[in-house]
Amino acid sequence: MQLSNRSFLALFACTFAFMAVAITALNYGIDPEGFVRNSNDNVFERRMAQGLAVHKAVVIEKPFNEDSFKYYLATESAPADIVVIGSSRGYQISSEFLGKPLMNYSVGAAGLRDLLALSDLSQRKGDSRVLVMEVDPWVFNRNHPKAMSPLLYASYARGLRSVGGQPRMMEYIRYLKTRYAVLIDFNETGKSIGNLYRKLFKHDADNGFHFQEDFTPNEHLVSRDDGSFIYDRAIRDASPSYVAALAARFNERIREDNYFEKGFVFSEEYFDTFVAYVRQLAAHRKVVLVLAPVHPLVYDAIARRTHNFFLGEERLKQASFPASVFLIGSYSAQAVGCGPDEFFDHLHPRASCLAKIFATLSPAAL
Amino acid sequence: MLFNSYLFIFGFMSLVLAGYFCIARSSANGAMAWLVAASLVFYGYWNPYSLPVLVGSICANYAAGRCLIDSRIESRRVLLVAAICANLLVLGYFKYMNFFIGNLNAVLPALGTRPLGYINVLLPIGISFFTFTQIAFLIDSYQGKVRETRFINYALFVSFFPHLLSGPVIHHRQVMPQFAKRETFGVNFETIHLGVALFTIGLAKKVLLADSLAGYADVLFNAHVNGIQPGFYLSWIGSFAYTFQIYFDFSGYSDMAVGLGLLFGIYLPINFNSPLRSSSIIEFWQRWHMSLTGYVNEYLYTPLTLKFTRLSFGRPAVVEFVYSLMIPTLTVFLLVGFWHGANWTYVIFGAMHGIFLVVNHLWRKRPFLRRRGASRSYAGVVAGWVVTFLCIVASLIMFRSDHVRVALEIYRGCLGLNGAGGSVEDAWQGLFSSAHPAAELALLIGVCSFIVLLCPSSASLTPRSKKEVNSQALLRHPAAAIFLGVVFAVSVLHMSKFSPFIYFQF
Repeated sequence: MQLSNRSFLALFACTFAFMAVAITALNYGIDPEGFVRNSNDNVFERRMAQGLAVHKAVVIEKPFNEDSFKYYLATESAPADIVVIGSSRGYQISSEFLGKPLMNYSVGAAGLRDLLALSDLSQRKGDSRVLVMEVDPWVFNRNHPKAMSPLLYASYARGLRSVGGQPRMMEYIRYLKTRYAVLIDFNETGKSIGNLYRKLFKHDADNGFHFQEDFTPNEHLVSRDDGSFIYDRAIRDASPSYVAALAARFNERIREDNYFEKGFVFSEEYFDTFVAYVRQLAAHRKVVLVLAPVHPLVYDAIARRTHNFFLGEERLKQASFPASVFLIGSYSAQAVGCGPDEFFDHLHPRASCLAKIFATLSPAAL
Repeated sequence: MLFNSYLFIFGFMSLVLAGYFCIARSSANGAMAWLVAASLVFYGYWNPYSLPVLVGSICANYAAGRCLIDSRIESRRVLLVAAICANLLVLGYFKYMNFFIGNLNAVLPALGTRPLGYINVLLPIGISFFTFTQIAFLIDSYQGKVRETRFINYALFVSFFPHLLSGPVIHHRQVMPQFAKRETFGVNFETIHLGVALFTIGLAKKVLLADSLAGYADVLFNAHVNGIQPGFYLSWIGSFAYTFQIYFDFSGYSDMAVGLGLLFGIYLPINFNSPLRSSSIIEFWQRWHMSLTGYVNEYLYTPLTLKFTRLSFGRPAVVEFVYSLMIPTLTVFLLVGFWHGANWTYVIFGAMHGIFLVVNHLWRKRPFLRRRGASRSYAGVVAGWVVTFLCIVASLIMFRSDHVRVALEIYRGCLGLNGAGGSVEDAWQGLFSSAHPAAELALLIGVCSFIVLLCPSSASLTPRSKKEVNSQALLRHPAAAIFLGVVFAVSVLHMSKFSPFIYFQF
């Protein structure tokens, strides 16, 4: 059978239209990560966040999208008096730790874009009185590689625009997809098909999480109802000698690690944007900037390999901030008096180390 | 605005097509003016500051061409040389100035002179392509070969957006006569049918194959940045991945360009004809970037060969071979390499192909081949294909590397001098989300090999193809319409990231 030119074009167009409608409908209907329909109750992270409104903690037994979890936590919970944002190095800052109710929206490996997004997100329901911001050295890295969940795009764009965003970073916004673009995204379609298959042919009895009514540590990661985390047993129970071995291995690895050679570029543009944003935030609330240390064994090795890796600390101490901004801590464990046994690994301080830093904070700040 | 972007396909292209067909009903000139305007918008979208360079180049070359056509004007030869030099100077300033400064700076300190500062200049995209097409126009004007001289035709010939950025390198005699025919303008379902098919094939080559291979090739060519010495497996797999990537990227772009031209009823020359099936380097250059090969052959290689052949009359056979073949071939391919970009790796790439061609010609001249016709045997063809493919891979390693020493390191890896470098799995570990990257890569290379070696070339789909097997009948089958519709939809799904074509940089 041979088609005429017009018939060929018509059949081609119909096939494409059918595929386009079917794929969009599939992605909209399944919406595996809740990017499109916020009301999608099937989203794993959303169900955990909803549960924390009535339970004390959730034990998370399978991998999850942290951006998504914190996004739903922010949208499902009441406005908080004290808000904490930062990276995994700020996970230990909990209500229990500060002795005051708070919400912790920190996400792993947070860079400047994440800080702008999370601070905007955390203030959408109302201004908090205090914003605690754990600031990592890589916040000022122009090449920070962390990808952001589409759920946070709008918050990031608002945060950046509010400080008149620097040109290079605004360029980044142009390439950000709106979250509706996931409707025609190939990867999202793969997830949708996978979810659909599981729905149709597998009974997914295991939720991958369960709630508990206290903060008892677990084999798995535990999220408290304030968003702070209790690490799983393997990390929590790491011995000082194991952590020292980890740090030594890290020092070996960074000699050949591209991130510490060319991947880290201290950006004045990022630094200026950050300072401007903090000043703006400080007009309506107190802002506590926390510099958390790295393991004493890796500090010198990183400083030698990447001479400006810790430059942010020096620059922040030189910057002029209003009186409502408090800067505490240091990237150097020695400077804040943290010993090698006060770390989970080469980068993450334990609560005892963070407590030494917060002890230097004026009581008036909180 | 990339061909593989939502903005282009569903915005710009749809609008331009609709406007074109509306205007073409009443006026062919209006339709051409519309296409010129659309092409300038397309070009200016990349960088508005480059637009004056393009417009200035079109106007100046058109004026020079008109003067060269007029046989009453004296000193036409001087004018031709001046016009060509002006074109090359503009190209040299934008594309090669910093390269020359860099090389000069390498020797200036030894002479006790301060290094020169680099100029801050943005390369106008596609400048190599529109400069070369216009130089051909100037030469043909001087030689009295130009028939079509209307400005609007000329402006459209140079600026027509499907070929403007990365070719095919078109010749005025291929397209300007089409502009002179009224029937070119209007709705022609046959060309639209072919255009849609070719555009879809090109889009799939780019977003489904080339972009998927890019990640694997980048592992190898960025290995030096990560302080890794590429081992045996990584070197070979990465090199194969890049060979397929550049073929699908560039031929995909060319197919899309030809397809876009056909949507407007305008035939652009086919640029690739299954080059990776070639069983000799001579055949490879007859099938790879055919429009550039044709251009170089007509305006560089043939004149040079004639000149040198005259010099070799009456001399021994060896001298004759050197004069009539070796010098022109090496000269032309050094220039072709340099045309690709301001880096020694491109020059060496050109030199390698020049040498391969010379060796290939020598091989064809060997006495026992003449007697037995050995190269026509099946084994000879297979052996020729293997050697040719390895030569292509070797030259593309140099082409893709940032620096000559990086390429040398990869050659060492291919020879096993850097060790095996761990398992294939280790080489890709952590770079891909897939749980079985090696299996994924094997599947990709398998699909690419199947397409490259066994599937009909997109050249065979075009009505002007000289292929013996015309595959147009394939395009009339309902399954082809459904298959291409699905491929187009899947390709569109893959367009979510910014992924420019490799040849845009040239």
